[in-house]
Amino acid sequence: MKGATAMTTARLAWRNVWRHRQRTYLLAAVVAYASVATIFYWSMIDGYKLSVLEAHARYVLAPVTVARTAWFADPDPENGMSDTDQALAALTSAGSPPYAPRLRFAGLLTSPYLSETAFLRGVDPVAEAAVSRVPARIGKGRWLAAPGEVVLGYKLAERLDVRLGERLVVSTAALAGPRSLGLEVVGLVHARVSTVDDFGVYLHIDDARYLTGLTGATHLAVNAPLGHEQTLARRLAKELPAGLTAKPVWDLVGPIKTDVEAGKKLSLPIGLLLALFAALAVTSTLIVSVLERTREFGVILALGMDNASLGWMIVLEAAFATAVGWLLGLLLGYGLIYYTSTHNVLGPFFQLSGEVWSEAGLTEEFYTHLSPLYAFYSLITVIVSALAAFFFPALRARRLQAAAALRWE
Amino acid sequence: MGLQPRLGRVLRLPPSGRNSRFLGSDVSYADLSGRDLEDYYQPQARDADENTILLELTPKPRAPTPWGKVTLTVEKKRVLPQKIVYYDQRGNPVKEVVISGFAEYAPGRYLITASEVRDLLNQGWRTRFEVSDWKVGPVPDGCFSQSALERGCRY
Repeated sequence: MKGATAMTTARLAWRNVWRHRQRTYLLAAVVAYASVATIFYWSMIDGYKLSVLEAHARYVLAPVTVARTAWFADPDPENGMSDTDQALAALTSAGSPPYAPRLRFAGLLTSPYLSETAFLRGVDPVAEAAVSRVPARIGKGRWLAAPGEVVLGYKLAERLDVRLGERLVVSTAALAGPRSLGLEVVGLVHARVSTVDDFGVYLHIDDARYLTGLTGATHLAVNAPLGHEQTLARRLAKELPAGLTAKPVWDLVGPIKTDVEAGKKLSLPIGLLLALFAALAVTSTLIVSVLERTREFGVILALGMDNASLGWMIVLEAAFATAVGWLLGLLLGYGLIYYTSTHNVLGPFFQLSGEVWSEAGLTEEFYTHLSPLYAFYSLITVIVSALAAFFFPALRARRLQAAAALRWE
Repeated sequence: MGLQPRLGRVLRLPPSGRNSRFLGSDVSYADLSGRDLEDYYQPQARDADENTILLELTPKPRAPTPWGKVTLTVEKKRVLPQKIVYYDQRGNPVKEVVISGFAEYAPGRYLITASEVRDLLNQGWRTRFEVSDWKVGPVPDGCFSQSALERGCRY
């Protein structure tokens, strides 16, 4: 065995991996578990950010918002667009993404029992469905169909004590001076997003135009696939004339963006801690495995293999076994996050936490995220643990004396 | 605008404030103006006895009023309101105004001098509204300025 080539050492190592099947399976299982845990953890972290983004894009704001620059600074109807022609021309130049005009204004809602201030959203009932999920989340009644109607978040309706078919008075003072309308409540939204359920007020855009005196819209809500909001906003901004601008949802969520980004930074030490635990599990499994085989190594040394080759053989054995475990972990991990990214299995589970979940701006839907980066993160975990594990057996093999090893109990 | 005596300041009253409680009482600013009944409702005579007419007022379409209906009891002889009852949209009475005093300041022209507003949702809650002094005649526009409201207006 003296002077065995690297190829021979590798072949021996590979044979040893399958000669000690139980040990290999155990090590592979530990590595696979560490890989799955790492992949799932980072997929959840990114999924949380995307779920917040999705909830705000589809329920609270819009994927991309086009408005006058002054309106973003002061979202009052007086800073709205009296006509939307220029904005619509820019949308056409940018590939005609689906859009809906909106007119947002502050007003007062009055029922026979109490009054409450709110931000009201005048919408085009048909176009709105192309950019928002609210029209599809009517718990009772129906979505808007004509002027003279109003749809409320179900909790707001409970507070005001108004029911379907009853009249609600909407008042405001904007460009047209003080104006009021009595609108019939035709639907109650049950979106499971607190901003919508607690404060949502949707009326026909023609009623909003009458109440505020603005002939156009305060902004256009533009649809974009999840994760492509920034790209579309940039493309639109290039087409828009001076005074108009486009912003992606992430730029409009305010402190929520800071919270989510801070949360992701906080998750980094937790992720590293997870990797450390995984590395410890793999290392301890490898160390026990090497200790158990001391007599076997003594025999190998007695047969003529030098200490350096023995060290390399052990290192390669560990590398092969961890590679098998890592590949298995990738298969299981990506299978798991593919399923949880396409099926809402986690949302109902998180909903058990109650109001906290919806107050964080999340819906009852929660999907993990798929990214090839997670394979890299899990590989780092495996490499760190393998390096730690390789160091001990390699060092031990270099110092091992054949006679002492053969006497090992 | 209206003078808020507790603060000693004139506060701008938003249009929505018409339904707010006047100085924390059971009276709303809309009750004081008394114009809502003419503008927002369609009257229908429902019942009558020897001395009174009962009018049922239903809101016009899209009228900015939260009430389901209002009943108005009118004295036949002088055609003066005696009682106004406000109902929610489920037919429950929510508030009533009982008018008990009038002053005839010109032949056939009357001013309400005593009324009581009862909150029917809160037993025992009521606000009595009395006019102790009054003068009839044109009021100079200057009396409606912010400073005149704060300092008072003599004319």
